[in-house]
Amino acid sequence: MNKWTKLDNAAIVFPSLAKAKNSTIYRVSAVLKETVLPVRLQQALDITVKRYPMMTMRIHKGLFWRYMEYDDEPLRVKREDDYPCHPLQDRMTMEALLKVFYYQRRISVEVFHAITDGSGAMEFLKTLVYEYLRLLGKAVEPEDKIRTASEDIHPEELEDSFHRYYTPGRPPKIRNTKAYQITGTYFEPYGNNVTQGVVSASALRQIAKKQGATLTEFLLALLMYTIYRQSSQDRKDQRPIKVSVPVNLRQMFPSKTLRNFFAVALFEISSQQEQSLFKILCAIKEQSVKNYSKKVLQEAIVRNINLEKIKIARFIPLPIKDIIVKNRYFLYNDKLRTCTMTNLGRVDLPKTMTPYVDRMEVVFYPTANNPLNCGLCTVNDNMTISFSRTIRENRIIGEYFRYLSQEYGLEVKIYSNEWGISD
Amino acid sequence: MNGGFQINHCIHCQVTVEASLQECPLCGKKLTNTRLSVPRSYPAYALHNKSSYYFQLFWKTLVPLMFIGAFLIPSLITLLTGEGDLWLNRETLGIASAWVLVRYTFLSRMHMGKKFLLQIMNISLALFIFDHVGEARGWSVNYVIPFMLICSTLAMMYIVYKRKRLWSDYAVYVMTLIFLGFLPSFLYLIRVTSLLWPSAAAAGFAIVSLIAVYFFLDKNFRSYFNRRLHF
Ligand SMILES: [Zn+2]
Repeated sequence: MNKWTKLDNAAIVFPSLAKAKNSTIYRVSAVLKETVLPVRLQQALDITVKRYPMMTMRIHKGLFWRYMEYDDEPLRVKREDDYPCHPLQDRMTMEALLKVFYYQRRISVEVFHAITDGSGAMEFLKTLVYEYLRLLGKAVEPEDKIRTASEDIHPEELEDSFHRYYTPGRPPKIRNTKAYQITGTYFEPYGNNVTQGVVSASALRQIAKKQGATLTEFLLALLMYTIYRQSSQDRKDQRPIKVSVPVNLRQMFPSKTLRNFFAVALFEISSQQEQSLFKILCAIKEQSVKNYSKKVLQEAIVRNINLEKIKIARFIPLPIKDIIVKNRYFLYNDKLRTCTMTNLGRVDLPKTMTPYVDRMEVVFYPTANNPLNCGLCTVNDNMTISFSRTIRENRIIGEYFRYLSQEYGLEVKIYSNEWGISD
Repeated sequence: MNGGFQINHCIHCQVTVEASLQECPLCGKKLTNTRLSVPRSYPAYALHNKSSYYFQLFWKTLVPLMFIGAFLIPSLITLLTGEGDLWLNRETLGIASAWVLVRYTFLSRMHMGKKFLLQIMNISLALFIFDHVGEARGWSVNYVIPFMLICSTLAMMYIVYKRKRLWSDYAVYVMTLIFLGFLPSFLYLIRVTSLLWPSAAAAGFAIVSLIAVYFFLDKNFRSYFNRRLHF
């Protein structure tokens, strides 16, 4: 209980930033084929938590830095009754930073970003669903794709991999400019409206292939195109449209870590020039080569650690650090992008599990200046595109899905939590 | 393949929509063939979220604004022009202090230790002003504040001692409270306080508390400092 650890490198900013309009809590969920049984889910959670002790840590404030402490208060599954990515109710020390919800056929895991990143949370969800199905008596096998509770915890899972892949150096500074901002009227009461669409991943991949692009590139291009169409009517804001795409560093820098280990790739198009979907796609393909190169990602790792190594920063008391981070973030970072699109890719489930899982969802939290964000996730052949938004206007989302159905004849299945709509 | 999805159609968007939805989430048009009996993907959000929102809005924003409008602004005008009544009196301060009490205890989710500390300061300040409006009598600084500090430190230490699990959470507030124990003596030095012994007692108690913290909780104490002060 008295064991403690420092926050990992990428996690430091999240507690400073967390507030009602920037919960820094994201959700990953699995929609099963049958209604979830809460009692079994609780049993599965009790088993899973033992395998992931770092996920139940709580954050405390120190004089100079925050730190994380193991917590032995048991986690309870809850019936979902609030909108996804709901901000923490109490102080970080009082409340679990990972929560498990169930509703109808859905099991959701909501995680505070300081604890882990999307792929860490997905590992947790996979184990949870696996243990749940096992407890139901289904014949599921881990097939080396699930970290089961019976397996030992690998020390590498607790590692801050940024330090492992750090190479001393001074990468060139990036000069960032502000991006086009999506604006609108906030829901009152404030909340997160989630509108989701399910499409066939293989059909979509075919369409992307015809244009010589990957699935992510195509969906990103379409998102930028719909934002562009909106922005071209808004003559006041002529800044470039920039969409940030989190990159899982584990793919290029092998690591088993369950803590934060990601970088961010920024894609940019001009909102002043005449654009077409094809033109945007070409720009994205070109930028992908650079953004996903090992050199650029290595520089991101170095930049991250260098920031931590600034000597004076270590002696600045935490409250002042918070103010600096908040201002840096809100004056620059949050406004440096138009929105975020995160893709957890194709979730590799064991063959014995796939018959029980219909689809998976990722919901990314909206922030103060990015009232609309997008999360993608594929399982079996079902790709779920989840838009979360905090404003009434939904033209971008509507056009996005209509484009897929009308232009390409895809079957798009739409559902929503209808926050702010049904009254 | 509709993945257990019971469906409906939006002709305008040419998409399938979950059967229980009454409007298309994309275009907002009313849908025919809605089947409310089909379970939805998301819960219907309880109204309490909304009513608590308006309740909070009232207490956290409207009440302070009303207070500022009704008392502070007229007082300021009075101060500047020298005409009218000064509203900044015992009654209005009582109201302000009571509001701080309600707003930051019942309506706030902040840490218990912080609430406790804040209310001690709130009450001390209120008593001090009560005491000094009109003719200064000094009962607040002479007696009430030193003894209140002693009692509250004792209470907080007792809670933390009983439930050691709380120690790391409360440490910062316990320490602050202990150091506040030296405040009355300081007030005596700058001649705000005229009576020495209650203030001296508070300072003495603060020293005893520090020693107690060091000896009884010392293992936790040291590990606490390692954590809190790492850089
Ligand atoms: Zn429609």
